[in-house]
Amino acid sequence: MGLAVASQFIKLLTEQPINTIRPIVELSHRYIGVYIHRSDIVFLCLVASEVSPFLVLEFLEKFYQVILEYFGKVNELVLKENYLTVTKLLEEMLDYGYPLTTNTSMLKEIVPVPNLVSRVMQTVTGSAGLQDSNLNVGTSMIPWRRAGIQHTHNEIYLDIVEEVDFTCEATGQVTSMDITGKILCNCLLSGLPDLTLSFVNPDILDDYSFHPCVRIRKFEQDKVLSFIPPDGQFKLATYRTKAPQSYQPPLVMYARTDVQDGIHHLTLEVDAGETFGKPLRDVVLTLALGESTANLIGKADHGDISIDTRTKVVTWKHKSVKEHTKGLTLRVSYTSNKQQSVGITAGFTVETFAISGLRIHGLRLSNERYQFYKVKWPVWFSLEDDINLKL
Amino acid sequence: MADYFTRAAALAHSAAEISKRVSEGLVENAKDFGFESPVQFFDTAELKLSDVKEKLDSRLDRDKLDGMKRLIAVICKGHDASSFFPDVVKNVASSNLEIRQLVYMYLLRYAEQEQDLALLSINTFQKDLSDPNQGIRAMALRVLSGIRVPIISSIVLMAIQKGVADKSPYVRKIAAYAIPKLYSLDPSLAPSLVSVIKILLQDNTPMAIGSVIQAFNEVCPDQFDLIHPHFAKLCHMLIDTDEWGQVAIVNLLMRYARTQFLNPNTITPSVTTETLANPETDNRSGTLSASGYSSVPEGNAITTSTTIDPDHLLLQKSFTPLLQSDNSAVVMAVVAALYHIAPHTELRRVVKPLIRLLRHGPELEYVVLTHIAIIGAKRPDLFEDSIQHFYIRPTDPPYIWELKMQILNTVVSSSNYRSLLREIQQYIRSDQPRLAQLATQTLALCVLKLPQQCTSIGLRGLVTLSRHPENPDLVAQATVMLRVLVQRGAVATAHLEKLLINLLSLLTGNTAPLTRANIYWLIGEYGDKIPDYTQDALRMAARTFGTETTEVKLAVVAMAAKLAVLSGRLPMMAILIQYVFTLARYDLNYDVRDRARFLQQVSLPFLQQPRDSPALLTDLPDQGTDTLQSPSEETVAWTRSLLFNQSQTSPTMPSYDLLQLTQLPASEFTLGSLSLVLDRPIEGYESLANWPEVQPPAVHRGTEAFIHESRRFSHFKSSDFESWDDGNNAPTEESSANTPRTFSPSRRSRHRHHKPPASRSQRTQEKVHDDNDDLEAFYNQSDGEDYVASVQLAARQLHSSKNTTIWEEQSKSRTFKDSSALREKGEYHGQVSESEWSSSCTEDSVEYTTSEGSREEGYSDESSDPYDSESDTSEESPRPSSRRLLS
Repeated sequence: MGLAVASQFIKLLTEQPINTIRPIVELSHRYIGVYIHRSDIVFLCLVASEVSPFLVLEFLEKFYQVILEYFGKVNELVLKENYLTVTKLLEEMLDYGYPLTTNTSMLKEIVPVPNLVSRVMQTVTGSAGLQDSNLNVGTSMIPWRRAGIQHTHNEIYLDIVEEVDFTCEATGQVTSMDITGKILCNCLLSGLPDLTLSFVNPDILDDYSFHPCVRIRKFEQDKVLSFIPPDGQFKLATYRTKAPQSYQPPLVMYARTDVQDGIHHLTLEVDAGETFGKPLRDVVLTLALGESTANLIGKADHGDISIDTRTKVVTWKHKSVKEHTKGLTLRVSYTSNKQQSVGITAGFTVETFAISGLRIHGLRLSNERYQFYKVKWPVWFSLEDDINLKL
Repeated sequence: MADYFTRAAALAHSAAEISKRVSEGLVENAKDFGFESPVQFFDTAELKLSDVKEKLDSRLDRDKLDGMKRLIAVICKGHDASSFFPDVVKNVASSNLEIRQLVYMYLLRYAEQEQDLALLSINTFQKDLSDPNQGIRAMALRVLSGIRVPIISSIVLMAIQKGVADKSPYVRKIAAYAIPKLYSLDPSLAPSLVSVIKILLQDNTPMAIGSVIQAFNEVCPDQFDLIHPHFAKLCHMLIDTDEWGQVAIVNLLMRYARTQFLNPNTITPSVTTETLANPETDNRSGTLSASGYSSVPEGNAITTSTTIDPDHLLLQKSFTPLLQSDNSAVVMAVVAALYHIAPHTELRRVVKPLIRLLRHGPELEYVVLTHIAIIGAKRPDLFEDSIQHFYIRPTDPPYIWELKMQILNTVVSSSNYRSLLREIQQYIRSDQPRLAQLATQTLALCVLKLPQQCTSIGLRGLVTLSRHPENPDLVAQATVMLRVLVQRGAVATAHLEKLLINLLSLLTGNTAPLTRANIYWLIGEYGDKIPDYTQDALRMAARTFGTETTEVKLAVVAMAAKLAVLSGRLPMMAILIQYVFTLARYDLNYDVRDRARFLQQVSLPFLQQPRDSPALLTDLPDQGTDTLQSPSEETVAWTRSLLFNQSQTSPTMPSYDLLQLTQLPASEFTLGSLSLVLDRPIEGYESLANWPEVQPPAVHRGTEAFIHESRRFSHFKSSDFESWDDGNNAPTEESSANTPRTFSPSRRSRHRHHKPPASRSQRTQEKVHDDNDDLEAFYNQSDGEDYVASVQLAARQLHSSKNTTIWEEQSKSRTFKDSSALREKGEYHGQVSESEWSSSCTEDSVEYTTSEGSREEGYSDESSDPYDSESDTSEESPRPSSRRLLS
């Protein structure tokens, strides 16, 4: 039954591009499909009765994240190769339609991550080395951290990654700016460390959400993040900050278009601004020229240009741009029967540079003592940018 | 071409055949060398089903595993593998755990089809239910409840009842999960299941409680009397429960509040003594109690809030931290709850979390936007400041930007219109016609909504658009919007003439039918404003009449009738009008013919009968000399009212009521439901109950005990890290001090029950209960069988726990915590260790005290802390109704 309905969805996919299908789509008179599209794979969930769509979407997302964490990447081959693990994971994560165990650290105890050793073991002994002890899920009273973790080197790494959305006028003037950031943590500490992360300027956080391990009430009172971390990598917090006053983006774009003899000439000029001595890395500018364009030709004095003639997207890449570089120019000419707007987005990374100005005051450890203990924070502040230029 | 395709298809087919055969051969070869890639294994699984039976019968675990893997691969690919059921079921008792896992997976899928054979496996599960390993017990319970064989429902019920009393919270959790499964298998078991849920509700571990509530929501969603005694506990455990449990609990408490409390938005503000007692403390208490009312002047907020049931406030208070959750389902459950049960002032809290969710991927963005559209339609002010988050990105798919435009329409206001107007210029130029159309509508809407700020800029914009040389669709949209604005009186009379002439000049160019229809209609309607131009307009219309589309013809006929009333006495005009009517009378479209006939009759009295062109009128009934006389006043008034309808939308014109764009039909569906997104009731959807008209009788909700609990639960994350390990280990002699603690809150509230329920006035007079007696009783009393049993259970758990250093520290911290209540009274003089963990404990207890303090301050009608003799709060909490708790 489910398969028949799912084939409805596949039929739908062949009829129209996926990005025009709503994430919640009626497939038959009884079944509703809820899907997410990740890594070019569609995760579809069929729903027959009332349920929160957020629950379904969130579960699918979790499922995807777990697979990603298990195998490092998600594609058809990976799924086929590990079909047994994937099925087992699904079995553990979902019980009669209810999400059961979605926490990766707990799942890793029940369903071992396949690796070379286990594969060899499997070939030799026919067993993946699953022991009774593997079923001791939930023995820890802290769901996200299993009991008895041991590391020889006790280390914890903190990364802050900020993402900025700008909207610029064609003149280079910034009209709106939105900063979101996340604090990534890689915790390799033994036992049950109780950590407290404090900020110099917590007030700039406008909105935030935390990993379940963070004590929210504590944050609301003292503005510190107090938590017992899960083991390994996790996202401690995401936040949004108010845009600092009179901030100039590290990348300023100016664009103009002329029409001559039916040929549109678009000139895009890029200046790099102040980044405290660090170069802008992986600068990628994307120009979406719209369906009706044809005969795309691009020319630039620096960087690599690639033109996708199917989607009419011009990509202009630079490995690294030094700060205060002026006048990087891209010229694109094309024909079009309509006059229309061009969407230009830019992305880049700057190390050791927090655009919101969020600063960590310190990380305090209680509850555990280690002979050797190392905190690495922040290894870098990184900045990913998404600039929308309006023409 | 078609030939080419068939050939290509045939080629592809044979290629596939070959590759299949080759890979088959490869697999065969690889097998000989004992090596096979998992991908091939998966791809070719069904080709090798023939020897699966042999493999399953084999004595070697390795072969069995191989066979099971093949079966699972076949199942994964959606094929049927049920024919192997007898062979699989034999392996259910395999000693190899991995085989067993796979067998379980297989059983869960096919047991319903092969009920008789499935019975063979039941014994194994029953045995496993008593396994010392909690993982095995849980797994057995999961599979047993998952194989849907009605005959064994009583066995499953027994297994659940056993699991409910299990010492491992994980097994209890699984037992709770099993309840809805059994209920759907055999609904007649509901009474027994409800009693199981009743027992489970007493569970105090955050791990199990979420799934218990899920079972409750499924089996007996409306038996709120079961919830009363646990209300405060649920509120307090909420934050420590796992995310999916939080969704279930928030959902339950939302429904609970809709039946147990009064609508906070209709409660009439009344100043009572309680409100005057602590207007300032409410400010001081900081994060939780005060911030919700910041949008309302202080005085007002307090008067309204205090009339709300304190338990209702407690509910909101325990919800709000969850808005910071990383899980969108939790955030949305809370948003829905606040939307449906909280005072409107509280809604401001949901804005930032909702906007945060917009960044959780395109799929979620869509669902969140549908919700923002609905909340925004009710409370546009909430999203005024966040308008830039609804701007459209070049990559947005249509279903996203349609919603975004809808939201922009509702939230535009005098504070953000500048930014919006700048933004929609982009959309108007978009190569998506629909987006351009929506943006044009938005532009017109701004003029209507904010006439002072936007009229001139909006009209100028629309006129400019209407002169757009290349895009006839855009021109049409602009004219439609101009027509709507004129109709709604948004254009000043002084500008009207200029505007009409401007539009008239468009007719000479290449225009879309919609444009012409609108212009003709406008000229008819407002012909008296431009008397010098109407005749020309009609002439142009008459010239092209034959080639026009129906909508234009209708508009032209309407124009002709109106012009007849306005200036039918002019000879040339009359001829033109009659000419148009004659053309229309012989039109192919019967709508046009009918309309023309009707309008001609209506307008005849106004027409100058030209004597020199009788040919035009041969068909008409003889009018005699009547038409030469002026029509009576009455006729004029009547005809005018019939033809001219400036303020209403015209029947011949598409009737856009622009303001409607801002007012979505208020969705009657609960927020956060699938039905809301699809806008139709989905199976299993149940709408929220209406607020009760009168206050339901006061019940005891465990609010006194909750302070007590608050300590335990706020500590949970830092200190409850004991890991009990199945009773395989030697019991330790550690736990005597802690034992009664686990179930103390309920015992404690029970202790207080012999007091009769006190009325509100009595309560204010009553003195705080004596603390010493209370504590004494609290630690010694052990009445009631349930509680004895549960205490014993707790004791077992603690005894069985492994003795580790962690445990020692933890027990110390427990003692410390226990005594913290005493310490507050100044009776505690024990030494506190200075180690790091204890400092964290101190912090925690500080946290606890503060939250307790804020609680007192925030909710004046709440009970004061029974442990705090210094507390001078004059009210006592409502006395519990003893009947309720003893039942």
